[in-house]
Amino acid sequence: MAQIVLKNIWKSYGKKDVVKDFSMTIDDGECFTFLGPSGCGKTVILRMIAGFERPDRGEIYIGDRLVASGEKHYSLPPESRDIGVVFQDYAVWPHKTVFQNVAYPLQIKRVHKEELKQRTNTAVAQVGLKNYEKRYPYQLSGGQQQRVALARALVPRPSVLLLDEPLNNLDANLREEMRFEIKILQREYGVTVLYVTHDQDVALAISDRILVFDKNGSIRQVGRPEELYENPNDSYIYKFMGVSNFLPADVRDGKAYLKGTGDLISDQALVNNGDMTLASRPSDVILSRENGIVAKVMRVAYLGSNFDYRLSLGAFEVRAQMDTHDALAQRLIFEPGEECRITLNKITWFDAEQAKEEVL
Amino acid sequence: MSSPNGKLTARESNALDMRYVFLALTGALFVGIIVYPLYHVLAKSFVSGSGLSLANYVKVFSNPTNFKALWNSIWMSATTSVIAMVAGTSLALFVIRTDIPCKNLLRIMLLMPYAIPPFIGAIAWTQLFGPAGYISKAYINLFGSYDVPWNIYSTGGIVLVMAMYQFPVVFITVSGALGRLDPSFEEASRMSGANAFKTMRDVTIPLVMPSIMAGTLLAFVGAISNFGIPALLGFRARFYVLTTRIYSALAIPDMPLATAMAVLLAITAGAALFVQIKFEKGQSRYTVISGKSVRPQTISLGKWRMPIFFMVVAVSLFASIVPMASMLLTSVLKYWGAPIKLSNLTLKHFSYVFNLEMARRALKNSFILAVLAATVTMALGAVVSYMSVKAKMKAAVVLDIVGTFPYAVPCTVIAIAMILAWSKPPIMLYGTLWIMLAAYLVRYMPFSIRTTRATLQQIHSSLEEAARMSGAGWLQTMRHIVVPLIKPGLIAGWILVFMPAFRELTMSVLLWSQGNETIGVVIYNMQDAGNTQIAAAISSIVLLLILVGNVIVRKVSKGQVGL
Repeated sequence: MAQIVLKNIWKSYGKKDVVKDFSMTIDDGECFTFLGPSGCGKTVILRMIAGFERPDRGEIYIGDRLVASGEKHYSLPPESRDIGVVFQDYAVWPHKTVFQNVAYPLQIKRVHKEELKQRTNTAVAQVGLKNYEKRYPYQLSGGQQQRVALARALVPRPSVLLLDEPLNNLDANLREEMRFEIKILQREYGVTVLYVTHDQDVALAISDRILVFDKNGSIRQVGRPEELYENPNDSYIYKFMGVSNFLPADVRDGKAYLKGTGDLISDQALVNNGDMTLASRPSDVILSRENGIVAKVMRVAYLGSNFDYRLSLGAFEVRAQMDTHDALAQRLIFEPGEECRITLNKITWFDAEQAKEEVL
Repeated sequence: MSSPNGKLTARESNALDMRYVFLALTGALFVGIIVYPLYHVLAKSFVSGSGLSLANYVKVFSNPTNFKALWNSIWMSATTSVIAMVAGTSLALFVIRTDIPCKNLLRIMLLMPYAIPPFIGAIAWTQLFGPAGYISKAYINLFGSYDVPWNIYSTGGIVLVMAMYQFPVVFITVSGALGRLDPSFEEASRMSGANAFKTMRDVTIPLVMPSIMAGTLLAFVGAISNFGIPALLGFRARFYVLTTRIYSALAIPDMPLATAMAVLLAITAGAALFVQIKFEKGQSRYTVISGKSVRPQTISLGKWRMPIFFMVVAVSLFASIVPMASMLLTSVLKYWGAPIKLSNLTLKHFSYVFNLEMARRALKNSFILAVLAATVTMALGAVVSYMSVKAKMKAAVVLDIVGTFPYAVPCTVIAIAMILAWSKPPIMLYGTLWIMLAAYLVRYMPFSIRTTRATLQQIHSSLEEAARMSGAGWLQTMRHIVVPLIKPGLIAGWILVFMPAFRELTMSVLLWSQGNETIGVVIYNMQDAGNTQIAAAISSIVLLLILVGNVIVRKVSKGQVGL
C-alpha cells in the first residue's frame, strides 16, 4: 500500500551519532527486516518512521508523502502517519477490554458504530481471540496480549505496519506460531511491514528482504534470506546467520591447508593464494573413521535429532552436528577423548584480515 | 524538541506550545510561592536594624534560654531517634522475619501512630499518664500510693511520647528493606553453618544497616521539627526546644530572633536529611531491584515466641488502640476525672462542639484549606511529574527539584517564611486564611510530586505511543489513556495531602488569626486552656475522619498506598 523511503538520515543523542547517513527504500507490500545487535540504531530508525523521534538530517517518505525532514524541522505527528505499531512490551491498555483496545483506533477515526463493531470483531477473530472480547489484559497470557496488540495495529488498515521485537517476550513455541500468523496477516492485508529484531531465526522465517546492521550501525548486507545465508558478503554476516566454524587456512594453487599444519582441508579452494579464512556450518562437517584430517573429540551433547560435537583440531575448535539416525546406522558415535576424522562439505571463503578482526 | 523556525504542523506545534505554557506557569508559581519566601528567611536572619549583621545569631547564642533551646532540640531528638531506632528495628525484625502469630494485624497496628497527629497523641498520653490520668489513677488504686513515680510533663515524657510517634518511620524503612532483601543472602549464611540468630546478627542486620540509619535520621528530623509534643508537654516543665522558642519569640513579637532560630532549625534538619539520603542510596546496593515478591524465610523463635508476641502486642496496643480509646472515653465522660461508669457517659461535649461557633468555623476553614491544598498541589505535581517523567523536559527536572526541596524544611521555618513574605505590600496575606493555604502548598508540594511521579513511572511510555499510533492526538491520549490510568494514584495522593493538611498544627499555630482558626489550632488552644474534654471531642472527630480517609485510600489504591 505504500513504500517507505529513507534518505540520508542522521540522528545523534548528545555527541553520539546513532544513525549515520542511512538510506533505504522498503518496497510497497514487502516484509522487510532490520536485523542487528542491540544498540545498532535499528529501533531509533523505526521510531523515526513512526514519528516518535525526528531525524536531525535527512528525509522520510511514506508513499509519496514527506513525513519527516531534519533540515526543515518538520515532523508529521505519529497519529497522522497512517501507521500501525506493535510494541515489544505489547502496550495493551490495562484499563480497556480486548474489544475496547482493538476498537480504539476506529473510535478515534469516528467510524460508524455498526462498522466499528463489525471491523473490530473481524480483527479480533483474525488473531484468534474470538470470545475473549470482554476480557481485560490481566486475564490474558503474554501471547494473547501480543495478539491484541497486533489486531489493534491492523484494525485501521494502515498502509505500514512496524513491529519492534514483538516476539521477544514470548516462549519458543509461541514465537514460532506468531511469526507464521504475522506473515499470513501481512499477505491478507497487503500491508508494508518493517520488522526490527536481533533474532536471525525470525528474520529468516518471515522476511522478503533482510538488512543486517553491525554494532556500529553500518549496513553490512541487504538481500533475500537465502541470499544472506548462502552468499554472505563477509564473515560477519556468515556468523550472524547461524552457528559457524571459522578456520585459518593457507591456500596454494587450489589446495587449502590448515594454518601451521600440513593438513589438507580442501583441494577445491578456487580462491587466491595466501592467507584465507574458511567458514563452514556444523551440519557440513562430516565425521568418519577413515577419511579426512584427524580431530579429537572434546565434548558430546545429544540433542535428540542430532549429536553435537566439539572437536579440537590442534589449536582450533570445530563444532560438528550429525543426524542421530545416520550416526546410529553408520555406527559413528564418538566418546570424548576419542579420535575421529573430518571433511568439510561446503566451504565459504573469506579474506583473512577482515575475518581476523571480526570473528576469530 | 524545540523548533527554531516553527515549521511544524499545526497539531504538533499546538501540543508543544501547550506543554511549555503549562510548564512556564508552574515555574512562575513555584518561584513565587516556594523560592521567594524561603529565600526571605535566610536573608532576613542576617539583617538587623539597618544593615547586614550577625546580631540575630549573637542574640540566639548569648541568651542562655535560646541557646539551651537549640541544645535541647538536638539531644531530645537524638535520644528520641535512638529509642525509635531500637524499637523500630526490633519490631520490624519480629513482625517481618519471625514466626509470631497475627503478623499482618500487628503490622497495621504498628503503622497507626504514623496516621495519628502527634499533638493529638500527646493529648491522649496526658489523659493516660497525666496527674489525673486513667493509668495514673489505676496505679494509685492498685498500690494505694499517693502519687505516681512518673511525670508526663517532663523531658522524659516528651522523649517517650515523641519516640512513640517516630518509631513507625524506622519500622517502615527497615521492614521495606527486609522485604526487598534477596533471601539467598541469608540462605547462603545458613548453608555456611550459621544459625538463625547468627545469620541475623552477621548478615541480615548489616545488610539493612543503611535503612536503619536512614530511618533513624528521618525520626531525628521528625522529632526536631515537631511542635505539638514539646509544646503540650514541655511548657509546664519549662523545657523549651527550637520550635517552641520560635513560637514564644513570635508572641513577643521578636521577628528577627525567630528568623535566626528558624535558620538554625533548618540547618540542623537539613544536615540530618543530607546524611539520610546518603544512607538511602547505600541501601540500594543491597536490595533486589526487580520488585519481584521474594518470600523471606521466617525464623522460628521457639520458647520465646509467645513472650515476644505479647510484648509486640503491648507496644502495638499502646501505639494505636489505647490512645484512641482514651481520647474517645474522655470525650464522652460527664466531667474530667469522673469515675468510669455507664451513668457518667454523655454526648454533651459533642453537641457543645457542634454548637460552638469557633469549632464549626475551624472545621469549615480546615476543610476548605485541605481541599484547596490537595487539589492545587496534586494538579501542579501532576504537570511537573508528567513533564519530567514522560516528556523528559529538562526544565521540568529543575521544577521537580524545587518542588521537592521544602521536604527538607521544617514546618516552623515554612511558617516564618510565609510571615516574612506575605505580611507586607504588595501581597498582604497575614491575618487571612490564605497565608495558611500558601504555607500548606509549600509543605505538601513534595508529597504530591512524589506520588504523581511514582504513579506516572508505572505507566510505560509505549502505552501512550500506542494511542498516538492509533490516531489519537496529544490531548486525546491524555484523556483516554493517561488520565484514566493514573486516576487511582491521583485520588490516593489527593487524600494523602488532604488528611495531614486537615489536621495541621505546627504551621497553623504560628499563622492563624481570630476568625481564621483551623481544627488543629482549636484543639491545641482548648487543651492549653484546660478544656480537656472539648479538645478530646474534636480530636475524636478528626481521628474518625482519618480512619475513614485511610480506608478509602487503601480501597482506591488497592493497598499500595496508605498512611
